[in-house]
Amino acid sequence: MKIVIIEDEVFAARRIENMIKEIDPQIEVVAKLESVRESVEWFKKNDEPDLIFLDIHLDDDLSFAIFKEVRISCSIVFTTATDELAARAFQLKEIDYLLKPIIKADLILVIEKYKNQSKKNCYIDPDTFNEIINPRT
Amino acid sequence: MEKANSNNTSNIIHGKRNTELNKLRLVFEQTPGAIFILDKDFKFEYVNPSFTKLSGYTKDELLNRSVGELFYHKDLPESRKEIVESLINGEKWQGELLTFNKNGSTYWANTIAAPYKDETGNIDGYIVIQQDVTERNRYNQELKKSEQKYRELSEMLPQTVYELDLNANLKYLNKAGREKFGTAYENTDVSVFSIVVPEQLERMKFNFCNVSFQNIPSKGNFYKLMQSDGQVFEAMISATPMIVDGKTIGQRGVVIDISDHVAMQNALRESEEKYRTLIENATDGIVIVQNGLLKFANQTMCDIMNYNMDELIDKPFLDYIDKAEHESLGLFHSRRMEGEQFSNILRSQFIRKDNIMITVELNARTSNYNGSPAGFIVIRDITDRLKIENELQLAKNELEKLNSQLEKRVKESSKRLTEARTQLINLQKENLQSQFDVLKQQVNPHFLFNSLNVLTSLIKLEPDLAEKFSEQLSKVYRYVLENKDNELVDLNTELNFLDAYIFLLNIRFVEKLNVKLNIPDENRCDKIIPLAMQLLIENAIKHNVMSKSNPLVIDIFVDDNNYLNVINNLQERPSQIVSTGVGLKNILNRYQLLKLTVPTFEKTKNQFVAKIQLVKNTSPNP
Repeated sequence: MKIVIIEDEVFAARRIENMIKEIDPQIEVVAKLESVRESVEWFKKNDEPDLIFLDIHLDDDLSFAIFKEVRISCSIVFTTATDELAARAFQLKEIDYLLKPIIKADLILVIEKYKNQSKKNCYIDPDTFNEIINPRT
Repeated sequence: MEKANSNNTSNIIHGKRNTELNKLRLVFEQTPGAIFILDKDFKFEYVNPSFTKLSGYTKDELLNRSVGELFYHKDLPESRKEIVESLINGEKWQGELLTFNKNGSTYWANTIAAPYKDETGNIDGYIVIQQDVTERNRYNQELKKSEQKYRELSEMLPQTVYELDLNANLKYLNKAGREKFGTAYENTDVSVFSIVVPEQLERMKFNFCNVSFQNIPSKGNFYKLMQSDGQVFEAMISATPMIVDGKTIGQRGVVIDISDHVAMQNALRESEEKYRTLIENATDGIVIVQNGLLKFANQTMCDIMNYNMDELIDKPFLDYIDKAEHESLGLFHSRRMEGEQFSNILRSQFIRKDNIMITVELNARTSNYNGSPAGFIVIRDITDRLKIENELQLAKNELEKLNSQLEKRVKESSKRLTEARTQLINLQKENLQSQFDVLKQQVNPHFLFNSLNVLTSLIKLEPDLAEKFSEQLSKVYRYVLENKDNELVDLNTELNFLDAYIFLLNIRFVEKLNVKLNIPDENRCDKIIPLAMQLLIENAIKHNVMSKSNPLVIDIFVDDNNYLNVINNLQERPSQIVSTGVGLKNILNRYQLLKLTVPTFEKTKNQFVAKIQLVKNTSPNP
């Protein structure tokens, strides 16, 4: 299983990577990307992974900007530092997400879920993304 | 012839006597008086035609028949025997006799009977002359009756009726008179001069003589007379002489009490006087218009029009009225003359002698003047009043204008007040909001969980750094807790907190963020609202892109004007998270609430510049 971690905070990215390795050493973290620009570059050159851990708020833009540049169809798990409203939006759209600091048990459940799942098209349209970013109160 | 000759002298004498007798006979025959001659046996020897006419007998029926036989059937009544005896005694008798005529009716005759004697002195017969006085007697009777009637009538009259003799003594006073003048006059022979007031006595005497001695009736003289109770009353006396058989024997008259009449006249005069005074002194002009001509104008009218009275009287009324008003006024006039009553006052324009036009109000009534209908018009000059009214209206308008201006100003003030109040409420709301925001800040979940996220990462990777990180993190949160209620904090205290905060940020955003703090020591005692710089730094991170190659640089320093500057280079994120607008506004509101100079925020091409005035520490022990 190949995973890409997109996270602007270095220590946060390193922690996810460490945790994943602890859970299943077979899983390969193929890239840790910090910005939109870096991510777009990477996706243009490399194959899609099985799963992406995607931070919403990146250094140079919102992570959604990546999808304007490259077409990504693999599974995505959003990571966010406690935004209750965003969390509720994820739930409504049945999109998987993890709250930071990520709890190991949650990460195990998510990985197990996607490990057994065949690739599927989980394209997120801009409207949905916008709702996640700016949830209506 | 001889006989004739022998008797010639005698014949002549006889003839002469015959001629005399014939003359007398002619007189007897022609006189209207009845004459008859009786012989010594009272037999009719001669009757003239007047007697036959009076007695109704013919001459033949009378001659040689005695008076007793003819009229009394032989026996004379006693009254007649006296006459007969005196005649037989050779005495003349005169008197009125009631005598029967042939048809049995009677007549009154004024009778003179005288015996005539022969040459020897023996009674030869009697001559009787009779004058029919039946008519006269009847007249006298009528007169008496009339007198009686007059008396009765005068007794019934309410006016006093009197008769005076030539000495001015009362001979008669009717019932009304007796009641009026009292019982003293019941007994007449009282001088009439005692009833008049002394000052009019001479005049009464004069008038009395005019009637009594000049036979000039008085047609009504006015006196003040005293009635029985001593009260004086106004009287009018009319008198006429009483003439009996061509001789004035006195006068009779009527006394009419005219007190009421005089009182009425006085009242009328007073009333007239009053009206005249009213009209003359009226402040309104009053005119009487008849057949279009001014028949009367009072002084006020003259004053109003500036004309003399002579210039107005008998002139057409319309001459003094503006031509434009003629039609409406004419209509008004004709309707009024037809008897219509107007309660409305008509307003019109009059032209004065000096050609000045004045506005007047007319109030007219139709009434009688010298026997024909005329308009009685009251005219009021209202030019001045209109002027005053106009001035009043202007003043009123001015006042209303002022009032509305005042109202407007009050409204504006009220609006401003409301606005100020709203503003205050908003500020209070915002204050609460900012307090809430600060409160939120102290436990900002995003910051906290991001920090914790980092911390959990550090624990394994960099245990020493993790220790330091948790120390700084706790320092940050303690500071927030401790200063949440402070309006201002020392810059120094704030900077200590900021150091810790920046430390945390630097761990999170390794090499992507560069916060440069450069605050001189002398400013460290100045004051600032808590968390202002933290908010600005957070804002800069939120809105700008940062990377190792293009790090976000934040400069914090104090400028020459003692403003704290927080400046970051501008590298805005392509898509912005919808701003809650809380951050900057929060800072502004807090300064506004404290009535301090509000910070300024300026975005230039390359920079975002925030300037916050530092508050000098005024407390004695910094």
